[in-house]
Amino acid sequence: MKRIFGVALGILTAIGGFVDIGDLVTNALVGSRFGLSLVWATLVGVVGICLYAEMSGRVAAITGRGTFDLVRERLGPRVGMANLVASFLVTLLTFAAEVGGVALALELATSVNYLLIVPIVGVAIWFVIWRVKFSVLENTFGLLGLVLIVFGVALWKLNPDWGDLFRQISRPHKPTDESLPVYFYYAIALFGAAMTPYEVFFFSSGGVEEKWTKKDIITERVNVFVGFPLGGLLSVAIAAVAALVLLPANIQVDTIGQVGLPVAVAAGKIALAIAILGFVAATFGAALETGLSCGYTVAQYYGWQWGKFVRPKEASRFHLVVLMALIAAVGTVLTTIDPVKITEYSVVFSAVALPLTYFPILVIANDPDYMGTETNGRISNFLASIFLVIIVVASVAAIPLMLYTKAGQ
Amino acid sequence: MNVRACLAVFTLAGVLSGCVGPATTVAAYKGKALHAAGDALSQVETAVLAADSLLSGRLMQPYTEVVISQAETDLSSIQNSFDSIQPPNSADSDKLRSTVDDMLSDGLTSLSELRIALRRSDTNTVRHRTDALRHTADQLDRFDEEHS
Amino acid sequence: MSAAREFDLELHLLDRQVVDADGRMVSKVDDLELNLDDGGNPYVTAILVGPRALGPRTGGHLGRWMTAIAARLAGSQDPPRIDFGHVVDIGEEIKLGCRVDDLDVQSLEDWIREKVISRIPGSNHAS
Repeated sequence: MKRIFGVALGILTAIGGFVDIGDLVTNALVGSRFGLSLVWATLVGVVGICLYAEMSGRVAAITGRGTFDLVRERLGPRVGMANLVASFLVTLLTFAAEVGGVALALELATSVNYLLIVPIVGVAIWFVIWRVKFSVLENTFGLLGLVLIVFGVALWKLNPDWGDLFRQISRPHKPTDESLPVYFYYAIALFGAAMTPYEVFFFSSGGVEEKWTKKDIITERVNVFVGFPLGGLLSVAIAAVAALVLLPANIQVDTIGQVGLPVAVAAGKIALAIAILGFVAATFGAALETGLSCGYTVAQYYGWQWGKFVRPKEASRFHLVVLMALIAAVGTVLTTIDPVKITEYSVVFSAVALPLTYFPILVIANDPDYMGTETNGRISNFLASIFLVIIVVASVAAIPLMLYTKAGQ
Repeated sequence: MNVRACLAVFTLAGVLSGCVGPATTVAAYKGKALHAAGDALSQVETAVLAADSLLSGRLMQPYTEVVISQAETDLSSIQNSFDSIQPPNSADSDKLRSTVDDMLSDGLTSLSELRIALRRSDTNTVRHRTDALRHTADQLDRFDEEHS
Repeated sequence: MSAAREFDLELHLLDRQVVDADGRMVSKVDDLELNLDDGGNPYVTAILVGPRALGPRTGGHLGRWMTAIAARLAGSQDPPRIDFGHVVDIGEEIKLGCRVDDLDVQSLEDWIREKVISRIPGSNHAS
């Protein structure tokens, strides 16, 4: 019974924790401009993150060590350093986006200017990282994020032509008023929003924090293969309601407020209040994950003591890195750069950094010296190799497309 | 060396993708005008949708205030960007400029008055300004159809 | 001294995690100090840790920059060393027989702990 509860908790946490500011903004934006013609990119991204999260979780369970610890050991300090710099910068950018997202969501609830809210959010984030137990942290925000199911409810209440929706999803075509480069630019953005690099670091480091062993692999697999796709469905729901309400009204999403409007139109005030709670929970949870990941990556590369499972005094450098990353993230938002713009850039740069972050996981997950008998099976490797090609293509095309389309305009 | 080059590319990419260039040809200017009209339409329709939802009890006051203020700020910056572009030396371009500018100004006035009425909970004025914005939205939509 | 073992430095030693007798993480093996015995064969005398050891191995601008800053802060070019006599096991991790507090190789950690982290309430509680 306890086992079932544990598995259920894990799945629910994975669903609720899947969506972050990148998913919220990018899916709503794409839905409002492209309808459902880019859902395939989200779905591909979901399959990809499932593959790689499972691998990194399995690595943590078998070796008891974090990603960057193993990356440097297996691939050397040079490659490890390149990996670290890219991963750290992208994760820091995402951290800033999430912090901004929390502030914007709270602004919608209170109409207090988000710049005044940001410092409070920063303090709250630091406090939770400093004092709250890791498992409590993960479970609370994961479960709270689950309320984003309200987007599914809104979709159902809009009474759409389901057949038409499925046709749009299964037969991707570019809308006539958007160009092909912009179409593929947003495909890459959706991909980067689903396959966030920090997810891999956090998942594997979290596995070490929670002291996973070989026995936990099955639970971990269920969490990933059931939880993440259902979380991905939430992303699709966000795009779908935007497509049904905003697209016909010629509204193109560029603020968080617009992301919630379809929910209000479909299901009223209470549903919208629930959606706002979901925004706050999803972005706050993701802020915790990205903040901790900034610390995990640096500490694991250098071999410092890291983690919340030891007293902060014993992992001083780790905690200092997290604190400095938080200050940098809050500072970035306080420069009044639009957090939605930060988010749009963070998902594209995530796509650029993907090959550097995923290739090492693939190598380690296949290495019997580390994994014993639990190396990748043939199917895993086959799929993972296909994804490596997709990831490299997306990464290489991202910046040229961004320049050519002026970031999707 | 490699890391430096990568960082340089990242920064350059970020800066370049945000730049707006000055229009030169008549066709390019028309493109800019259409673009401005399209962006403005999005902001105006957002405000209309939010106000309508508030009036029908589907939206909360603080949320509506934030959405309307944001639409106003964004519309204002769309107008500033568009006005700052040097139109090419042609009567058609000048006409385009004044048509678009008029619509943007109308929208901005209505939005400001909507924002004020909203904060005062003046439902009647909210309704009227929303109708005015709906009218502007129609104009922008027709402009798009006529010129694209 | 016990019977010597042969190792592939890169495979078995370099970039491995060093842990102390309590299981605390100490550092990575950033570099190794070698000496020649009477027969002219090289053997490991110490593990070198820190940016001054790692910098030259990482190479490039970033590596040189790391080394320079660390040297400037510490006032010397020599990286901290862990005498190889302390090593009790070489496997997936390099295990030491002593505790990390007994060595003096974590000056940055100690400094940050003293000046920053200890001053924040709650630094003694794990979560």
